Amino acid sequence: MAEKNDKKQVLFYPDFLFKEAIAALIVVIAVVALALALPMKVGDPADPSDSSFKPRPEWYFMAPFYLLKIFPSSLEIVPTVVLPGLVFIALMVFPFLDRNPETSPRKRPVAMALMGGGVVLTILFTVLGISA
Amino acid sequence: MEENGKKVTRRKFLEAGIGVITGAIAVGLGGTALTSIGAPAITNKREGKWVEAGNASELADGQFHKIGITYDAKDGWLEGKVKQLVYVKVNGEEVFALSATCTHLGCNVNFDEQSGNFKCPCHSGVYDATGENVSGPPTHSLAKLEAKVEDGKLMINTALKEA
Amino acid sequence: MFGRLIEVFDRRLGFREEFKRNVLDHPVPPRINLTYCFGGITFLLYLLLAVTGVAMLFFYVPSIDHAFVTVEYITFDLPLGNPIRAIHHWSANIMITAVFLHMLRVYVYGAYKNPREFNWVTGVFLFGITLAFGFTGYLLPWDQKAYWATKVGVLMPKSLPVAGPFLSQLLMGGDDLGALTLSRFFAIHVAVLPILTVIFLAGHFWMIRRLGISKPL
Ligand code: HEM
Ligand code: FES
Repeated sequence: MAEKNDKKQVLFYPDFLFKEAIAALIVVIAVVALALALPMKVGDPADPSDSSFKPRPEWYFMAPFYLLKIFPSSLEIVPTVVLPGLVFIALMVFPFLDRNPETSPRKRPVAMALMGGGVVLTILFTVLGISA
Repeated sequence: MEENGKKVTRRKFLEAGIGVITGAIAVGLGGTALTSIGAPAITNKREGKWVEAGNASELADGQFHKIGITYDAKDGWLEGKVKQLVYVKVNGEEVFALSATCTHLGCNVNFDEQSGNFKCPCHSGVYDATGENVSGPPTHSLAKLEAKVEDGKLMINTALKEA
Repeated sequence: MFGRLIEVFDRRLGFREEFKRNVLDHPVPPRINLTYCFGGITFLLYLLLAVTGVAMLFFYVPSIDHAFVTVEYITFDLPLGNPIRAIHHWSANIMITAVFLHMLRVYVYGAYKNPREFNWVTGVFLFGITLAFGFTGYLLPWDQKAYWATKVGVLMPKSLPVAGPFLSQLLMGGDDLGALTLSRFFAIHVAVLPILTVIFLAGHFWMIRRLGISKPL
């Protein structure tokens, strides 16, 4: 099979894995460069009796953190439980709801609009949270 | 070089590329992790220090005394108490100190009053009162420690002097 | 030497042919571009995290009296400790991005569609696991940042009626963020999540093998 001289035949190995290897090399170089350029530090030991420390989550938890800030406390459950829960459930069942057999983005306006909206909002809330 | 049109050469090139890249990543990453994991074997040394081990007058009977000394030391990330067992004999100003650690496989030896020998509970190693190995599996004498009397206090240096 | 050893096994088990047929020689669609590498990049980052994580496990102690000191030891005293901790840190952050881009690629190319729905579902689990890694790992250094950010996190489920307060207590292992919280976050981070990852990744990869990578547009 590998020896077949079919020009269009692209194999997982070595064709695709080679691409993956190049991508891997770039990522490893980036990670190592970051690790050497920005060495780790330590903060202050945890102090449960401190009252001045402003907690900040990692950037990837910024979106719910930001929503928690802007929602009135009577609706706190929305950013803490409802929204994250809905996002996960929606992601989980989405392939079963999307019955459109087309795969080209141009022929899936609704799916693309949903994704665009989701991505834009996530990035927006993340950026707002980080800059707040 | 991959552009000479031959499929075989192209395949060889891709295979070599995959091999070199994954090999380099594996060796680099594995080497880093293993260096770090292995480093304490060389860097985590215990330095000898002088430790107070009681009043010399109470011990000055020419007999061996079993003394557990506790002192502050650095052990990796821990800066805390470390314990060590020694046998000490005080004769006036003269002090003789032996490590209790059997030179065979590290058990602590006991002093046997009757025979005047040190006996190891693990594999029956025997040492005489000078620490010399006389029978059993040990092939080295018990390590000695520097010891002295200072202002009436017995002082022991925790560094082992291997015979 | 190593080749000889493989030869010995292969003569009895014939796995080389099997592996070649099932994995290596599998055709992939032509014209697949670099966005198809995001899954593989995520996997690579997971491996980097596993290796550096295990290396740190040789030194880290999950106790509120010692966690901070041992992290300090890794960061400042241990030879190559700093790069190891830094690679763990940066791989984790980039992994979140890589998972996100991988999901986007799969979504845009409609690769989640029949028959690959469950490939997507295992993927959503992996996405959740990745976030859980980030959340539990953040507490481990037991510094101010870790303590206060985690406090907010574990108290968030409290707003859920009825079960909420109990959920928070379950996360903390009691009424307060303390010794038992650190222990359980540690156990989840280094044992539970890696095992779950392996299970879901096995499903994820097996389905890819079975169904092949979907055709590009
Ligand atoms: C630990 C995290 C993950 C790893 C290591 C991983 C790895 C991979 C790899 C290596 C592939 C092969 C093709 C490619 O790279 O694009 C793949 C395909 C796929 N992944 Fe993931 N993945 C992860 C998370 C996810 C997530 C979060 C989703 C979506 C919710 C997902 C959905 C899919 C689907 C549907 C395919 C099939 C794509 C196709 O056939 O074209 N994966 N995954
Ligand atoms: S350890 Fe003492 S005789 Fe073996």
